Parts: sequence; C-alpha cells; structure tokens
Amino acid sequence: MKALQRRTLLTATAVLATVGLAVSAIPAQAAEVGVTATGIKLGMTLPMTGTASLGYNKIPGAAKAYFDYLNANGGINGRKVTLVVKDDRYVPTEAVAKTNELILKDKVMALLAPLGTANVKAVATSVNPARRGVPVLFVNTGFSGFADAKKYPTTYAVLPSYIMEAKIMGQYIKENFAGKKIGLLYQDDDFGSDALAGFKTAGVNFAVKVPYASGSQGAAAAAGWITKFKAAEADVVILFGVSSATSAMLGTAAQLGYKPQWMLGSVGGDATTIKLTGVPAGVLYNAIGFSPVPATTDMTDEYVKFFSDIYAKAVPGSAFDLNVLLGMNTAFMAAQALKAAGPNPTRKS
Amino acid sequence: MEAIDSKGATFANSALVPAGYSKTSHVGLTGYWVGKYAPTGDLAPIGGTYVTYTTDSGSGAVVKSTYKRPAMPAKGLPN
Repeated sequence: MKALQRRTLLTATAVLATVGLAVSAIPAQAAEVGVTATGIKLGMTLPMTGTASLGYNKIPGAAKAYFDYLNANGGINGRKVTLVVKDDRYVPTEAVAKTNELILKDKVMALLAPLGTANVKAVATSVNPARRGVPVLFVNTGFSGFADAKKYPTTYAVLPSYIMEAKIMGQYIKENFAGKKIGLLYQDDDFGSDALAGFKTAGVNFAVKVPYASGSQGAAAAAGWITKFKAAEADVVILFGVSSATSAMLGTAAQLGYKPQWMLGSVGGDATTIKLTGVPAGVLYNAIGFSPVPATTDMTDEYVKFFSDIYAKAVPGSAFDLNVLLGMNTAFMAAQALKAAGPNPTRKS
Repeated sequence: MEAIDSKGATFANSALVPAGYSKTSHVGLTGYWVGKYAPTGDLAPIGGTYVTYTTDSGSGAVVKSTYKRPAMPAKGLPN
C-alpha cells in the first residue's frame, strides 16, 4: 500500500514537472496578464452610486480622458491603455467582490486608484493582491498604513496621508487660531482614526469631537452635529469627512444660520462638488482648505491648463474640479510607471 | 512596481509637493498648501502664492517646503 502511494506520488510529481515545464515555456511569448501586443488593461473600484459617490464618480471619466489622449498619441510603446471600472458603492464587501472580478474575470494587469480606506483594507485582507503579485497603484485614500511596503508590498499610496494633513492643519491652528475652541467632524473608521492620530501628534486639543458612521451623513444627521458643536461653543469646526458629509453639514448650517470658522479636509473639500448640492458659494467663503495639487481654477498652471483642456473635450459640460484633476494626475503617473517599466511591462517591473 | 520603487519619486505630476517612493516606502505625496475659499467658493492660495508644507506620518515636524516642481514633459506624455 505504502509503495503504491509512493509510486502514485512520484507519477504525480513527474506530471507536475512536465506541466511546470510547459507553463514556464509560455511566458516567453505572453508577456503578462492584462498586457497584449496592442493593449494594457487596468481596473478601478470606487463608488459610482450611493451616498458616498458624490464627486468621486467623476474620477473614471477623468482618468479615461487622459488615457484616451495618451492612446491617441501613441499609447505606451504602441499599447493602448484601457480602464475597466466597477461600482462598489463604498461598501467594503462589494469592493472585495468587484476586485475579484477585475483580477479573475477581466484579468487586469493592475488595479488603479481604488477608493476608500475601509475598501482597500478589505481587499488587502480578502483578495490579497500582494499574494497574487497584482499591483495596486496609487490608492485613492490617504490612510497612512498603505505606504507600508512590508505590510502592503504591492500597494502604492499617492495622496498625502490623513496624518500629514491633520498635522499641517494642527500647525495652522496653532499659528492662527490659538486659544480658540476647536471642533472636529470625522468618519468613525480608519479614515477618521488616521486623522485623530495626526491631530494628536500636532497637539490639537478639541472642545468637541463628533464622529459619524459612513453612510449616515445627511441633513438630519448634520442638524444633530451642529447641536453638538453649538453646545461646545466651537469657534473653528474642522470637517474631515467625505464630500457628502461636508455638503450635508454646510447646507444645513446655511439653513440654520450657523457660521463658525470652517476648515475643510481635502477629501471632502472640493468646491465644485459642494456647490453642486446647492450649498451657496458664500457659505464656503473664508473657509480654510488644503490641497496637494494646484487650485483647479488656476489656468496659469501648465498642468491645470493641459488637463482641463483635455477634459473639456472628452467630457463636455462637466466642471473641471479637484476630483477630475486628481483622477487625471493619477492616470498620468500610472502612464509614467508603465512607460518606465520597459518595452514589455510586467506586474513586477 | 520596480519602476515606481526606483523612479516614482521623480515621476512628473501636477502636485506642488514631492512624492516619497523608494524601495522601502510606498508613501506618495508628502504635504499640502493652505488656502482660503474665495467669494466664488473656489479654493485659492492665501495671499495669491502657494505656500506648501511637508511632513511625514510619524512625529516629524511640519516644515515649509522648498520643492520646485519640474516642468511638464512635452505634450503631457510620459518620457
């Protein structure tokens, strides 16, 4: 019996070795998953529908606008870059399912700019792109942990981290709002905890901190937040949440006549997105804001001019805003990564 | 990925702050400029000039950045 098992095992090993040889002979011709002689396929998950989609659902159109321009100008060494987009509604379990589809069914070379801290974390755990060798390029979240090359070896950050932003906000508060009572609205997950860590490092003492659960943001919730900020007599209120939370807060504050000094985090600070929801421009006036890229209205900036010209032609009638600029900037960086990866780019290169 | 590890920090892009990619870190951009929203509701740099600050995700100080963004590659295409 033992001998038989051993023989079976030996045979199986021999078969495996033969298969192994055959498989290893293939890559010489087929360069990489998602890469053909004429194209490179990338995949993106983000909220295209649902509460949190506000503003961010313009990102795929922005990225595609740049890739179309790139493709019309020779692509990456003759290969056209295509982008497969899947709606995850900002729900981590859906991000996991859609990412699996992108990798297994659509067979993308790499994931580009997946959005949301909780979503990217869930994907890292359940899909494990690192184990599969799939690059996760330029995640659309500022969670500081994603910069950790040991923990997330195939994941690359692009946005400055929430900790960095909170520290820079803290510095501004120290220099300009010393002695004022500071209030903070934040999302009650890893997005918010990263911000809290940064504020702690910066030594910011809050008169009141108001957490909100992802998906709960709306006018009714905002009225409740305002009650808390008023009770604490906050002079400065920091909104460190998604666009829909900022919009709900500013819209409700306008109705109730609540006017603290606002300070907006970059994630939810895009003016075009906020104004589109009906928030009057005057409510934003004099609020403090932060951005790593130039002002989207600054047409003296060569990138803003270049990207906005391409976008206007690709998506006529759609306002050029921060989500568009960041989406195009990320696509532009991805193009450089693909070009720098050599004549036959692979996931590893 | 090897390309980002070795060259990512020098990839041309619109940001006014440097990126920090290396073989040991996948940190992206490292700072912000501070602005005020104008009467139109649009964010603009305070005093009309971009003043950028950089820092890290640890206990490092917040410092004014001296980063000069390289010119955009010709036609906005990768070099």
